[in-house]
Amino acid sequence: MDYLFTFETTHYAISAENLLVAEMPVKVMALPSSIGSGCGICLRINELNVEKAKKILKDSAVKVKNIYEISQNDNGKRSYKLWN
Amino acid sequence: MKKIEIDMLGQPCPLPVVAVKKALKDFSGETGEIIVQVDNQIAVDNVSKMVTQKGHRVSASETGNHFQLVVEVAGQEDSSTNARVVISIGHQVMGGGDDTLGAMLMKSYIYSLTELDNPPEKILFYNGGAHITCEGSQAIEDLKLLESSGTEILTCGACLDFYQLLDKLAVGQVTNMFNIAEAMEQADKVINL
Repeated sequence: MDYLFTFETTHYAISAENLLVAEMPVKVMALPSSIGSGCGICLRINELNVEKAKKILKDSAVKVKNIYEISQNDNGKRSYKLWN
Repeated sequence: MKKIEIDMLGQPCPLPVVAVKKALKDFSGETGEIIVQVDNQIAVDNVSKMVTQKGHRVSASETGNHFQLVVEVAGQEDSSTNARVVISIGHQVMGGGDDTLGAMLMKSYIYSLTELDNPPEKILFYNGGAHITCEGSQAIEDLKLLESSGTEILTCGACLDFYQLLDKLAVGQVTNMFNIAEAMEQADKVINL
């Protein structure tokens, strides 16, 4: 399962990717419309790395907005549930 | 009746899907039959799914590890899934301005393509865009997903050579300018990034 990190600004999203990419696989994706507007770029992290990512970002200047759990139904449609 | 036979034994996914898609186009509205030989169940499933979506009928038979698919090609394809969309990507980044932002936007765009109901027929990568299909690119996984749903991922060979990436291609096939020109010319819609 993957988790979705959203950020206060696009700059935070870019800084977060730079911080995480050396440590773990990070996937960039567009903010799903069901989550809303705001910074349109978010990061997808595998559950194996989610705690580590959380810690790295907490110790940095990056402001994480929310973390969502991503689930996929049988039709391949993804849904997002607030996790933190 | 038109009939095309395709031998895809030993060919890894997604090549059987790509080959059958290509064969379907050769019918251009005629009815007929495509007979496909494959050697794994995944290929059977993927090919069946693709042709059924396009409104054709398919049956499969199995002898040992050898599967034969018979596709009955209907005259008219379901037009809603029939538009030939080709996306042409000539830069490593999306849009002009800040390249860090542009690189992120490009990754975000490619991911978004995986969520489309009708994925593009082809994505062409050339010049700076060639980096996106090579080792080290973070879009590889999403591009592989697109490829498994039938999108052809094509990268300009001259460009791979220029950037010394020929042995680094991580998804799709190498193409040349004739194929790029032909793909653009035959498309219903070309999206140029």
